[in-house]
Amino acid sequence: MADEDRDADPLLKRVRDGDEQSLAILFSRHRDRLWNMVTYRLDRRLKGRVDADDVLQEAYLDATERIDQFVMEHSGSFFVWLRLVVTQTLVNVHRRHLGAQMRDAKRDVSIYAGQHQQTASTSLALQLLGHLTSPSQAAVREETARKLEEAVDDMSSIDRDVLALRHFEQLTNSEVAEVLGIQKKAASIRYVRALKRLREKLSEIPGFDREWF
Amino acid sequence: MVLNRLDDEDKNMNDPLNSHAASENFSSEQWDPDRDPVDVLAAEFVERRRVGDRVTIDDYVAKFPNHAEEIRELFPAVLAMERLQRRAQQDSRPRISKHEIQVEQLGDYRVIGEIARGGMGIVYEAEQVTLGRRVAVKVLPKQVLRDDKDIQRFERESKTSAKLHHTNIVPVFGVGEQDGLHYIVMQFIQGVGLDEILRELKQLVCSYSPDDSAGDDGNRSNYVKRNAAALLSEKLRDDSSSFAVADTCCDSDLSKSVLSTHRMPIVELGTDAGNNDPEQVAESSSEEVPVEKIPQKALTQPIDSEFYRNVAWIGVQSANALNYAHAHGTLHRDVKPGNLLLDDEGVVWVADFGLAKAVEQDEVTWTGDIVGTLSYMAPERFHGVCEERSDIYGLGLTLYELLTFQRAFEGHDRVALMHRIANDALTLPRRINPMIPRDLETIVMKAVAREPEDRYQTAADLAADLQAYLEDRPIKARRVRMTEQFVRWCRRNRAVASLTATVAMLLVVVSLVTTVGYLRASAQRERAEISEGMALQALDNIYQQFAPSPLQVTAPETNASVAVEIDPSSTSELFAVQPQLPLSKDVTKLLDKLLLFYDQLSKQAENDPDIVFQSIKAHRRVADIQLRLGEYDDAQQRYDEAIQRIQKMDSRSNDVTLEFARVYNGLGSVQLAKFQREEAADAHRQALKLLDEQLAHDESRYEYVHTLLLVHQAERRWRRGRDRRDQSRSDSIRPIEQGIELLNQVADQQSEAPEFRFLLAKCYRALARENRDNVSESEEQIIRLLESLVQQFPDTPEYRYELADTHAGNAFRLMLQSRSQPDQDRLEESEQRLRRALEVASDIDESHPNILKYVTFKVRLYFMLAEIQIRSDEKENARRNLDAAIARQQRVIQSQPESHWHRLWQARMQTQLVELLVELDRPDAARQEIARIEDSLESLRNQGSIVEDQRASGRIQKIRDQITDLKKSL
Repeated sequence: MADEDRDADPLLKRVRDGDEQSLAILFSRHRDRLWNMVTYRLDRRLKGRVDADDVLQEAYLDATERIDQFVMEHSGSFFVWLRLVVTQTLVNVHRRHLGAQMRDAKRDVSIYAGQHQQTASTSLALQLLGHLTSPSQAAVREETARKLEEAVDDMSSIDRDVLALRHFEQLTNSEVAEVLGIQKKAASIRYVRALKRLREKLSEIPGFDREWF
Repeated sequence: MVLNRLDDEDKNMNDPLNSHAASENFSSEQWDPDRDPVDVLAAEFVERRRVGDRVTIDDYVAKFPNHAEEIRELFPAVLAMERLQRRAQQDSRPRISKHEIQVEQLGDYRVIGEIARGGMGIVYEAEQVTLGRRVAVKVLPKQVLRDDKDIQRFERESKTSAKLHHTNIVPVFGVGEQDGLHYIVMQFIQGVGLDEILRELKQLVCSYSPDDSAGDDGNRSNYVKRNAAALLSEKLRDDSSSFAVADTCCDSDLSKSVLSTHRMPIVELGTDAGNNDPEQVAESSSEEVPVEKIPQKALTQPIDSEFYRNVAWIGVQSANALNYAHAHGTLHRDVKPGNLLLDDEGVVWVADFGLAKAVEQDEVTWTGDIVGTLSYMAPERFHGVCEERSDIYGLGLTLYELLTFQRAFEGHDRVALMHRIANDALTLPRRINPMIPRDLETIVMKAVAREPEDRYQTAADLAADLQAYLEDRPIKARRVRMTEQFVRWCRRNRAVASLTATVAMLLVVVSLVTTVGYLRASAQRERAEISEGMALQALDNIYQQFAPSPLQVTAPETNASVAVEIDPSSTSELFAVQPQLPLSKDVTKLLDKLLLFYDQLSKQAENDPDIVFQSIKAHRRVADIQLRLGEYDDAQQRYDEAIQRIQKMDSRSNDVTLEFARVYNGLGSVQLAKFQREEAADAHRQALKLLDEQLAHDESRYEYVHTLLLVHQAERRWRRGRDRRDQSRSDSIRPIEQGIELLNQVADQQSEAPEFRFLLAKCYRALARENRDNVSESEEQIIRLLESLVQQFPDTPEYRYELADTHAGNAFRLMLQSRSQPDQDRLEESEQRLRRALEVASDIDESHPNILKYVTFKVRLYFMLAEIQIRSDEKENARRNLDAAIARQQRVIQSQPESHWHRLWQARMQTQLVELLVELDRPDAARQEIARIEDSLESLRNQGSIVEDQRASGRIQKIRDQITDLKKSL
């Protein structure tokens, strides 16, 4: 399908002919999901200094400069290429702002460990607090939240990655496959397997089903 | 088809139509051989929920029984992940979902097409089928109205705005709901938002020449261009000619002579832009060339002077609309270019009145807000104040942007942006473009002054000045310019050099008032008015220093915090309000004399209602101070004068009515202090009646609840005086409950304002006092409320007083309980509470020695502490505390020599001390004290007031008897 839209979309054709405006339109079309991705991958230490919009702005400039690369070398879908560009921009941003503090820039941004956990824990806590009705109930919910957070943390990085790509970045199965460099079928299997493992962990949380559904 | 779509979303991801199609094909059973069927179902499930479709797990179980078990097993995990995602997204910088459902029919309305979309929803052009009329329907994003409470508020606020009928306000026909989509129906306006026009203007004037080949749809964007171009060079106010004239834009010299700079191409809202968000595209383009960096020469190209007149005309119309709405008690709360529509005739239509409140989006922290809205927010809104002057500010910034082609405050980081709005000075428009007329700059800069009191006080004033500019008459805004800097300096340095500033300002007032007289006499009306304005401003400033308005009393008072406040680099400036200066009788005398200036000014200006109003306010303020200082007779006199003045006024604005109520409340408080309880209750009821009619204003609502509380207190004391069991308790509780309810109705951000929280705490206290059965729980809630206030504003004595008093009340109750039923634990807890009260109230009486309430409070605390200590046999400590109480009471007596109750109280404490001294075996000290008591009783006997007061006579007799007994035991 990626190959199909490479030829089918007139905008993409225009992009390959060097039309910057079409690139801008395509970029903005994917902006929401790219924004999600940047948000989840931006190091917590940079909050307040850099926001997703800044990164995307920079990434757009990077994309205009490297559009030749897409035209000449990239064989996958345009979105996955854009995502790659944004990832690289993100690495640069981290390097620039964190410098020596950044132990391993590549690892930090390419795997959800750390950043995602932070986001998950904060968000969970907030979400659960948003539903609270009485102090005792709140305590129960907080406990549930903590457990849930641990459950996600406990998963293998393979499971966590595929869940994050599908839900946090809102990628489709074929995009996940392309990003992870595996077959679509394998990506689908991996996703369902991750869901199963997550569900098992959730069942172990007392009150999960009652509190959440 | 659905399933293919899921892998093919590069085309469709943001296309609402296709998302909709997905839900239509709910039961598709066409499996992708490459994928796990549950994965496909989960993906569809997730996709539908992301577009706002509330499908449930049960729906899927029912539809796909073959997979029921797996769905039941795995979908909860899917939902958990989605919740995590949604929440994290909101946490970072949430936005309105772009995946709105495409609607075709909403109730009676047939949707014709989309007009615009933004943070607050999508606006459709529609036809009302039954009436056959064209309307605009605004569909709110689903997540904006989250529960019944939200929906009720939305409906309530929409009803309020539907009542507004003004030539410059987009009429609201009604609201509706369909499939969980809430919408507002408005008149269809053939026009465009000023935001779009501004975008176009920036391009026309600053550097951009539109590329016709780039997917220009030739309809709407040309329409915008035409309007923008017309704005630049044609006369807007000419009714005879249609505003949107063709052929003015692209052939105009302007667009040809523009500079071109390196920038990202602007993406037009072209044919294929239908499935992406125009705002976003525009956003990325304006980010590329921040407007601030537009080369100066781009802006200096000649702009037809008619343009500036057009801007002023837009301002006049918008200000008129605001003024009308304000007079009807409605705030807009979100004035910005996007909410001002300009139609073909050059008429401005203000849209979305009160919508921000209706969907509670005016709260700064509201997570779904879009940065653009924040850019036009007035600085005071960051600490919970939203008022008419905040709307004026928003309009001012809009006009600023129209004049300069630059957004005044811009940025994506909300915190940084807030900081900038609160602290950065705006570049003067003429620095950006010297072509901008000086008067217009003056007007706009006054409208956007950082301090609300430096702005136009009403939208009508702003409209009048803009009109004056249009008619080449002198504008009023200049009046304060000369003194402005001085006045602002004074305000900033008031804490350091309060006396100097006051004296200096007095000099200004004196000389100005004299000048006004001279100028009037020599018929120089213009100049006289200017001086008069300055004098009024200076006077108001002096009063504001000593008696800030009730919603501004939250102020640091000690020198330490003052030091922080004047540090210009400190961000605390944002939160610091008027510091309240220590009061003294000298100050009062001075302020009282100043009242004469108002009379003089008023006489000279032939009773100009504005000056009369200022004078009434000043009278009330003086009286307020006198009340606080215990000068009850003087206070009553001033309140009476204020009442007379108001009664003489021909018409009363809302402000005057509010002021009238405040005066009555002041009067009631004086009467209560003088133990005239029935009169006090009457006065407060008068205030209640006045305020009843204008509850729409937060300020009035505050005063109303405050009044309810005062009535309650007066009646309570009155009842206590006669028969406290006489009236059923519920009768007296009801108004307080009503007050609490009203306070809860106040917009959330406003209710965060310290004064509202304080009032709420006081209401809860009143309630707790009546409900003696289950006190402890509510008491803790009250203490929490007050403690947070004290923590936040450690230097506001009233908060500390109230908190300490709550503790003291608690201690007193415990003490009473342990009295009827001896209980050492209770006694100890009571002592602890008292010590906490003393700690909280530590030096309020020393810092404010002239405020009677604080001194008598301290007396009470020491006395109670002594009593507890006597009972737990700590006699020496008890003696010390009794001494402390008696010494302070002496100060009270000195300031209130006529009140026999204060002396009686003193005598009672002294008697207690004598008892203690006897027990401590210190007969000499005891005898000395007895002599003092006898002296004081003697002087009391000569006091006229005591003769009529039987209760007092009884008390005296009791004390005499006690003394006789004590003497015997010596």
